[in-house]
Amino acid sequence: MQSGSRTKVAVLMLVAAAFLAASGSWPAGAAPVRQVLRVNLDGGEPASLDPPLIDNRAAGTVSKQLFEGLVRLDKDGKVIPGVAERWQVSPDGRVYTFNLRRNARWSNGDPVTAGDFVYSYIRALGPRFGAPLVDNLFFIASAEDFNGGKVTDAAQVGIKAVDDFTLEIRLHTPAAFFLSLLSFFSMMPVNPRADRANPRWKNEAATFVSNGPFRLAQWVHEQRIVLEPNPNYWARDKVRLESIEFTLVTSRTTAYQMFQTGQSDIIDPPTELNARLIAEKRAIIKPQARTYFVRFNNKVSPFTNVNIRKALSLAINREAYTKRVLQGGQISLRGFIPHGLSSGTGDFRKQAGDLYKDGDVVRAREHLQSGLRELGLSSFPQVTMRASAREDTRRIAEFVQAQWRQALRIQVTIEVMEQRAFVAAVRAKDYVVAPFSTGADYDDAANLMGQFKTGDFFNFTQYSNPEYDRLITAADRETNPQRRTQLMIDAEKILIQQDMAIAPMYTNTVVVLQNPKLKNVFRYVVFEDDYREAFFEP
Amino acid sequence: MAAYLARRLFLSLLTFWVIITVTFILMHSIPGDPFASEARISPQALANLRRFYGLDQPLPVQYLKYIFNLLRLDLGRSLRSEVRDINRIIADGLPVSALLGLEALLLAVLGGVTLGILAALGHNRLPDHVSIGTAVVGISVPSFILATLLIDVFAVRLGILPVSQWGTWRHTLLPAFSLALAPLAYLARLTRSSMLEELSQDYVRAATARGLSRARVVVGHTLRNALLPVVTVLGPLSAGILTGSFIIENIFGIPGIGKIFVLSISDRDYPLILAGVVVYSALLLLANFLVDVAYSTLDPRIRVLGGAR
Repeated sequence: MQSGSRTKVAVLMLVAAAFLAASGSWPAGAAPVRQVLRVNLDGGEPASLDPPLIDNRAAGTVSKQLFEGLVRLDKDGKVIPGVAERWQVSPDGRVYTFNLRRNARWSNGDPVTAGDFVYSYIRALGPRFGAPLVDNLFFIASAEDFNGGKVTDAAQVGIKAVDDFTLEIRLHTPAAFFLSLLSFFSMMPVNPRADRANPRWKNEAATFVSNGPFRLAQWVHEQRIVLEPNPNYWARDKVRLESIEFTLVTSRTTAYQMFQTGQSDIIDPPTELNARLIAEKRAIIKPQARTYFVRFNNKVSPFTNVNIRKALSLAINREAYTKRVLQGGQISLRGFIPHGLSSGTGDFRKQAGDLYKDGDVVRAREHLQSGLRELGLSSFPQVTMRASAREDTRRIAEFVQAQWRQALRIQVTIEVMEQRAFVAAVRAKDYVVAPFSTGADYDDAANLMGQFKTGDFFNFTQYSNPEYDRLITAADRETNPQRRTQLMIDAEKILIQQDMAIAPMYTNTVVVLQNPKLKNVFRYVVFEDDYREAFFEP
Repeated sequence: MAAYLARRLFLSLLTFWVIITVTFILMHSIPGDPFASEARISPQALANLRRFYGLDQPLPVQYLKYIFNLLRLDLGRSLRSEVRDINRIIADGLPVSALLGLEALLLAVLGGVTLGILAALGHNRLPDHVSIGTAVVGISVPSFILATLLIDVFAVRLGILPVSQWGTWRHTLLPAFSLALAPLAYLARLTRSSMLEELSQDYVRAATARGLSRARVVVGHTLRNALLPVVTVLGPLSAGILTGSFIIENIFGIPGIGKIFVLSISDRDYPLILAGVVVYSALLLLANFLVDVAYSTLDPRIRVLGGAR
């Protein structure tokens, strides 16, 4: 071919390609209505599907479908029977007796017995076992000592199989939320016979034994996990899906493209698209019991002074941040405990109300003047704020820096650190002020309040108020739910309204794109999604 | 030549040992450990976890244990998977990355060298401009933008290729091309300048004067010489592609080893970091060694002069 015609062909091809690209999206082929649910796990390959070894949501989601605990949650988050048919609680709130149903079965046909739960919890508490979230089991009498090696006889731990179908659990202090805690993934049972015969049963689908609505059919590492209904599950008539396929694509952009082409039914979209998806009403938004806040190191000047802390907290306009910067449906906080978390008698945040006014610049300035006067300073000292390079915390740092400059005329410098180095620094209390986040493991405010007690391992804020300690300790022991709620509300008032130990920012949300034909997916504030009763309508 | 290669081999092994040791020291000097996260893991659980992974022992002990296991070809356990040990993780992931890498390498070499030759032969005319244009785009456009664009055009809009993941030959096309474009561009430019240099040499004029056809001259003589710099660069280039691109594997959801290795650093997954360094440096050293062998085959001067370069 001569170069003239070669050029013409090349140009024609370029034009054709341009046309195709510009013509807008072609409709994806109509997907047939098979009851196959395809979910993308944004967190990638789970490290393990063995319940007590799980510490993240992705693995928790898969495990939730595979295993069933003593109880489970209905679509509104209320506790309903799981393996246990019914239960009784002693008047002092310390002893729970569970009557297990007789027809609960493992995927290999074995009956699920009380002894299975005893085995599983003792196994999870083993000091050599390495369970990361084992302290959720510490409500059980002597559990913590057993885990720490102080008690070596497993029979002393407060869990006992009275007979094959009666399980007794003794707590060392009453815990109003203990029942909902039992549906958490750490508390799932494993099959003792399978575990004793082959400790590596959980590594492959062929040897995996579970007792939940689904069984593990296929696990192709780093690629996909396939679940099928468990034929031996006691409530198998509730399961309408034929299978669940989990893909492990960690790029949210690609997950979104999978959703667009109908190759996935549930994905987490890229955060940049949240605003648009929410505005177009295509996204599902759910508050997540995770709160973001700015931590003040209460033992380092100038944050030893309560007026300084109040000044910096009140100067922040959280509404502007959530509505105009984040745009992901997050809810600005005027208290510490995030929205949606239970107080034991209802939604804590609703009951406790607002503890301060958002973006109260006038008051902020007054507090700043008082604070500086009390500290004997003529102007605000040089302060460096440490932040993680991770997007969510870094943005908070940048935002509050601008707010403080605008409202209070103070200049704070930001030092960005790699995520783990940052966490290590905060843990070592090697910071002055830093954005942080914390989440609840189970649906009760008590879960988050312990970290402000004097001397608590997680008290990186170094906050100390004996009155707060007294209230929280009393709440931990209180058996009357209403009184307990009030104690926690009072404690939060001291922490925030009186002392402003930290500057709360917002309650996080989970934004999800879901196939509109998919129904009956149960989502919760703290726990993983439940697909037991999910189905596609035609 | 045997002495030359034996010396290269010994130096490679020494380099390998130094790399491992330096990495070990460096990774333990970074602040933060595998369990430094915002999750509230109790001190007791932390102590148990540390003991479980052998992190409670003094560093020299950990180091010696590691070297001892390495000699037995046991790369240890990763924090990333309780289910597979590192040998298995690599056995699962490396072939995938290698296949993807090989495909990308083939595309890059064939495409790049061809474009480079055409550019040199059509110097300052259309083939040259097209080639340079492609090269500039290939080097400037980041691979993650290219990848997402390709997915958008071919998978979302045209629907002829899958969006992501791994399984059939169709799944390999978009990722291989995304991975190949930058090296392709680089090789095109390298080949072009190398060819141009050769084409201006005296021997070319001499051969043409003696009556050899243009094709004979190009293929038989200049090409062989022009490829020397390309071969040199192929060593590190292959090792880089072959261990997989983090970005491409991440975007396409490909179960390769590249993504895992890069994540291991922020995860502080010490055994996996070391395994990554072991695999990558072994491949790199091997690739360089093969380049040395290729060199001495291609260039008689090296064979004769015994490696003085």
